[in-house]
Amino acid sequence: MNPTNFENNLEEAQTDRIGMWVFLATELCFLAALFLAFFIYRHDAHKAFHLGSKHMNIFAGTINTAILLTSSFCIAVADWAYKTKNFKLAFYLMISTITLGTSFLTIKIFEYAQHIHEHLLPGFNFQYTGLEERGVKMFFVLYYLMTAFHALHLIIGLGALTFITVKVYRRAYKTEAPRGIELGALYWHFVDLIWVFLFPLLYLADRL
Amino acid sequence: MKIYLISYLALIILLGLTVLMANLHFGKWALTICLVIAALKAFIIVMFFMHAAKARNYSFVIAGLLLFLLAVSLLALSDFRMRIGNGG
Repeated sequence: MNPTNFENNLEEAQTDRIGMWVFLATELCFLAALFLAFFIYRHDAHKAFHLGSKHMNIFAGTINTAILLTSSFCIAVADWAYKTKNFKLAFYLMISTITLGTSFLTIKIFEYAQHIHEHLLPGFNFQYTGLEERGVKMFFVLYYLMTAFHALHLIIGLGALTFITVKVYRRAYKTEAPRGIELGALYWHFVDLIWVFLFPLLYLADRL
Repeated sequence: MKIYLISYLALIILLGLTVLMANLHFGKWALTICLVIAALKAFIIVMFFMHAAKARNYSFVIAGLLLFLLAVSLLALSDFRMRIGNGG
């Protein structure tokens, strides 16, 4: 007797994918609210957001974007490699994805440290002299909120990918539908997707 | 495999284009241009890395989500604009 409601592994994998998309949809709804808040406050304090954006490190932001895009590429190829029974390549690519994700976090921590050093952390000795102080403060509130939310997802993703990598090493997934890798990759691409919008909004848009 | 490589190269080129924009001055169009490039990048990620292009059985989930988000965002923005019109 079949202990599950599914005919086979492929059908189960398909259901997993739909479940993950629905989960990502709920995540996107939460994020959409943050983006909407950003646009509304930006509309109200355009000049202040322009001034706040000047404190962003474009170089660090660009490197971090390239890192995340590369990690997305790595995990997409890892999924393909596992399905084509190239287990070693899949394992190395999973390790690369985790390493790139950790590098992203490290650079982000250095960025946060720089902002804190410049007294740009609202609620903790925030110092900004000028007429636009309230607006700049709001820019940084949204900056920390959005990037920390993204970083939290990245940390959760790193934990999940570590677990999946161990299973890849043990060749614990079925090659026709390695559900763990597929779902981990979907989540990781989503984390990349958020950053694709955060980078121009926070780092570039108001400097142009 | 080939599609992943092409997608990745396209994403890196688009990233370069985004950064290049930082040195040009587009005034009030800057945000729009930045978001259009970001949307292009998102399209590549969703369609090819996340395999939405092949997700025929559950494309309704993805399409439904996007329409829902669009509707909610437009409602919220129209509410915001009306409040500005009424003096806050």
